[in-house]
Amino acid sequence: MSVIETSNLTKRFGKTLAVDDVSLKVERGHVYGILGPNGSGKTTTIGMIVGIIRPTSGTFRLFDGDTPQDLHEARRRIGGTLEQPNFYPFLTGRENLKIVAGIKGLGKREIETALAVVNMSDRAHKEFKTFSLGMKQRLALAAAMLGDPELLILDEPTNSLDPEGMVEIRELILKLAGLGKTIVLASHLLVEVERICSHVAIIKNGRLLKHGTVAEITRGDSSYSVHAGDLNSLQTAIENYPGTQHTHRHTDRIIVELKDNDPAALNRYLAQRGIYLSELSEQERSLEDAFMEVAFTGESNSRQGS
Amino acid sequence: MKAVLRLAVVCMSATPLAHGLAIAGLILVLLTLITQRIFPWWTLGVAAQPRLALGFQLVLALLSSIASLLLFCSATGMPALIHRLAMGHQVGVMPHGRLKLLTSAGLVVGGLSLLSATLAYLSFVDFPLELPPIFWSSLYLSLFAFTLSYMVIWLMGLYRTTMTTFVGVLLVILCLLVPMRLSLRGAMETQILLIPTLLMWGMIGGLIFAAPRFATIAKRPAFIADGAGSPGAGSKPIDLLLGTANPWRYALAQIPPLFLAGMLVVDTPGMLVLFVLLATLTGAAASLAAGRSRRLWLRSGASRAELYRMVESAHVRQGVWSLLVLILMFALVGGLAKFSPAKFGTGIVLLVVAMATGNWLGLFCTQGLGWREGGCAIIAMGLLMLGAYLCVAAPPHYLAAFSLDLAFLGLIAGFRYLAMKRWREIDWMRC
Ligand SMILES: Nc1ncnc2c1ncn2[C@@H]1O[C@H](COP(=O)(O)OP(=O)(O)OP(=O)(O)O)[C@@H](O)[C@H]1O
Ligand SMILES: [Mg+2]
Repeated sequence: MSVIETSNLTKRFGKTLAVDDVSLKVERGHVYGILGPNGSGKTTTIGMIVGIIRPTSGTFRLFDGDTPQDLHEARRRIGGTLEQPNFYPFLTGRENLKIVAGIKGLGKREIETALAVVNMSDRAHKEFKTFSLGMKQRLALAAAMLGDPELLILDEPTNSLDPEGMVEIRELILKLAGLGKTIVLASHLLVEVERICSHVAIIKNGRLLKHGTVAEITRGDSSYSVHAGDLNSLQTAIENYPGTQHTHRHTDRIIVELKDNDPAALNRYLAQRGIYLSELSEQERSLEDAFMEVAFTGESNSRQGS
Repeated sequence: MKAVLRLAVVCMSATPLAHGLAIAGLILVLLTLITQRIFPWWTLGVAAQPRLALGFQLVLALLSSIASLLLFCSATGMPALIHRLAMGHQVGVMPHGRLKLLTSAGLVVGGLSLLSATLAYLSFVDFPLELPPIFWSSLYLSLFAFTLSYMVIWLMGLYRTTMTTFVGVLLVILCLLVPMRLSLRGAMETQILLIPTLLMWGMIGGLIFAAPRFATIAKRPAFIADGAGSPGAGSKPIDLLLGTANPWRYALAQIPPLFLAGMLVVDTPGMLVLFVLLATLTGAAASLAAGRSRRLWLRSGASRAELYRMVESAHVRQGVWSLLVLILMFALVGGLAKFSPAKFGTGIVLLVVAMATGNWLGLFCTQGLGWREGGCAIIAMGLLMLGAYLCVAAPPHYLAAFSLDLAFLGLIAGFRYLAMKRWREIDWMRC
């Protein structure tokens, strides 16, 4: 069952094309990262899904429903943090949650549950202004968790936290995922998405460049690291090899990207020219490599406004 | 502009204490002014008892300086707030964020100085016809004094030791006393104080704009209270988030400007215009609702249409309070000016109409003030002014005023219709 399914979602702010034709699908239990640099349209995409803005065109389904009534019902099953934690500084954490719970029509019990989930039960009696940023963010998560929603949508949950705070929040998100929540999170941090997400959509200039499981995206499918005694002649030979897409010289090896993904053929070709490889291995890519690659190739054919 | 004003208000009411101080200060300002206006002969020294008059004048001067002091204290949180905002990342997100920050600080200091200067001037002179030297010299002095004091407070906040506190306080006192004494003796032109004041502002501006470079000193970005009012017992959560939880606060906030204006605007037609203006503006506070209601979405589980109804009723409730206070004040003014019952009635109806117009016009402004909203506002304002004129003109045109009120009913219904239509498809990211 899909929790979110968007098709050709587009949002224009005047002349700016903030989100351009994005189609993605989030299924139950996914921890889905929307990864993109600043201004790429993450918040806008999320905003459309939670309904604080309306798409210019395109449609989406929540929990397999797409009529206005379905969407309305579905939103009761969504919790989200869509802005910086915004609470009254002079009230305690618990009192702040009470306000939110009051709006949601929930009581004391739900507040305590939410506080327990984010490990804040023993600190919620302190005033919000005395909280560290990490605690503020956790309180925001607790507010989102009020009423036990099935889907959590988090916009840059670790933004402006220190490394320790980031780790704390990430662990918390993993814990929530462990509780069976579906989580969508926007982030511009590769490591974050790599560490906690099962799936990722890379977006840039409003366009969806690539999406899939984190494993799929990071799998190196046609890049190889090669090494031989004479690197210079190796490089010349590889550059002349018709199957070469792209080479990159490191100090001690050459990274080659092949058009047909056939390393054996390359090896044969080199051996015929008297070059014997001392190393030929598939290149492991981090999400960062994948991101940079997609982002750069994506840039040339992306449309910005009109 | 909205952001600047909001920042300035936050600067003066960052904590409940500051809020209280600001209100106390304003009440005191009021008190001084009332006394000035109602018993001017006491203070002028023409009474049978010159000594008593002199004493009274001193008391008034004292009261007005306490008022300035209270208002000054209410903004003591400002340096730290501006500091944290300048260091935080939110200011970078806001267009011209740093400029707005600087402007709002300037606004607070400028406003305070202006008020102090006015108070100082009024405690010497009964009737404001032209601004005499005392106004200017106290303005320059206040600008300098407030700027300096806030800078010292900022520094003391940065380096919190007994020594810095001591030195800081001493510095402020010296910098205040010396120019004051010199200028009183006529040994110094207070204008000269503009130079150090401007220099300080240059420095403040420089610091605000260069703040990212000092980011390492920043502890953590500030959380800004949005000034929506502190939650009182029994207030509804929705009202808390909309900022309509403490209607009496807004209602009472109308009184100081009315009294201030009472000092300056002498004729009753002018007063009615002012009342109408205030009623409209208070109603127009509803224009903040669009931005604030975003926090209710997802939480309230309400649809856009339901949310509109919630917001509308919250603001109507708040408006009724403000209206009550306004009508009370109007009765007071009208009583003093010996209005006829017809004039009273027409005036009160006009106030209701003005508030309602402002309210639904405000609700209609879901995306700030564009030319469409601006146009509507100008037309509505013009018609309201016409209504005020019809009521106070010399002979009054009550029938015409009555028909105008009827026309307004149509206009309000129109605004309400448009507001509902817009709220049905509100885009909160654009508010
Ligand atoms: N209210 C708005 N009015 C006009 N343009 C907007 C508005 N909100 C966003 N945009 C534009 O839409 C684009 C996408 O913005 P969005 O906030 O979705 O990006 P983001 O990926 O969330 O960025 P960030 O990492 O900075 O949060 C940007 O070019 C931005 O300038
Ligand atoms: Mg964003």
